[in-house]
Amino acid sequence: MGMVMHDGMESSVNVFHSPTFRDAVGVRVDRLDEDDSWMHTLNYNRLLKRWNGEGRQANLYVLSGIGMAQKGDSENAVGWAGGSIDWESRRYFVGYENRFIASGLIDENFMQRARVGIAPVLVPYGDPQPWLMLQVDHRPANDAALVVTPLVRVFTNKVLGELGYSSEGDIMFNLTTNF
Amino acid sequence: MRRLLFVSAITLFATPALADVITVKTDGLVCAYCAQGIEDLFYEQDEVKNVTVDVDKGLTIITTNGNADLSDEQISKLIDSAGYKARAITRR
Repeated sequence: MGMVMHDGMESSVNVFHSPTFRDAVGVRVDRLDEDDSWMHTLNYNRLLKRWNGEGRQANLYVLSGIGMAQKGDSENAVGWAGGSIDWESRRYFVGYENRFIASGLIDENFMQRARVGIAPVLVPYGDPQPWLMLQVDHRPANDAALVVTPLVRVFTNKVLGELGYSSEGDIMFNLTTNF
Repeated sequence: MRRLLFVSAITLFATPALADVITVKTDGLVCAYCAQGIEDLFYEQDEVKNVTVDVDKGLTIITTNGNADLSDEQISKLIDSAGYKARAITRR
């Protein structure tokens, strides 16, 4: 699976493989715009718990990465860890995730994000499914600590695309493909 | 009479082996990603001729090859290994 994401705060490229539905290993490059820094990390994500119900699902993940950070001419080790929890049905989505970064180079060491979404129409399997979502990012180290981004999500069984416009006037996009 | 027997024999042997259609009420189905994961997994099984996931109804519908069979336990394990939950299995 591959993911390319960009917003006014961060850009990232992420490629990962899931040997089981619980585990994902991958590589990731992050660009933290306001911190003017880069992270190159190996990642491991684990689904700790999934709750399956009739037409609904909830998930609890732990996320982690370890590698190198780069800022200007300086390099240093970096590690990050976080968690993610979501609940979704065919019609509604609610999610929260956070990330703590440990590195001598990176000042932006905590970020969290919440999302709510609704599918205005339910389409047959295989057709592009649209969602309307609202994303709130909180990055205490940034000048704009709180950023709100309304976005449109569309996905099929292989591709997920998102396009939004933030309260700071930045375009947000995300393209995830399952290959 | 001989002609009738001949036609009956042809009809009998020309009838393909009946496939078993198994319907699995599946919890946790919310999106096309879910359906794709289950379909990919079942298509890896030699016993499976066709599989369709109906996300709206929460159903996984499996057609097996000829006389091949999948036990309820096998089906439950496969659904579990895809990350979902088989709640009820019916056959026809």
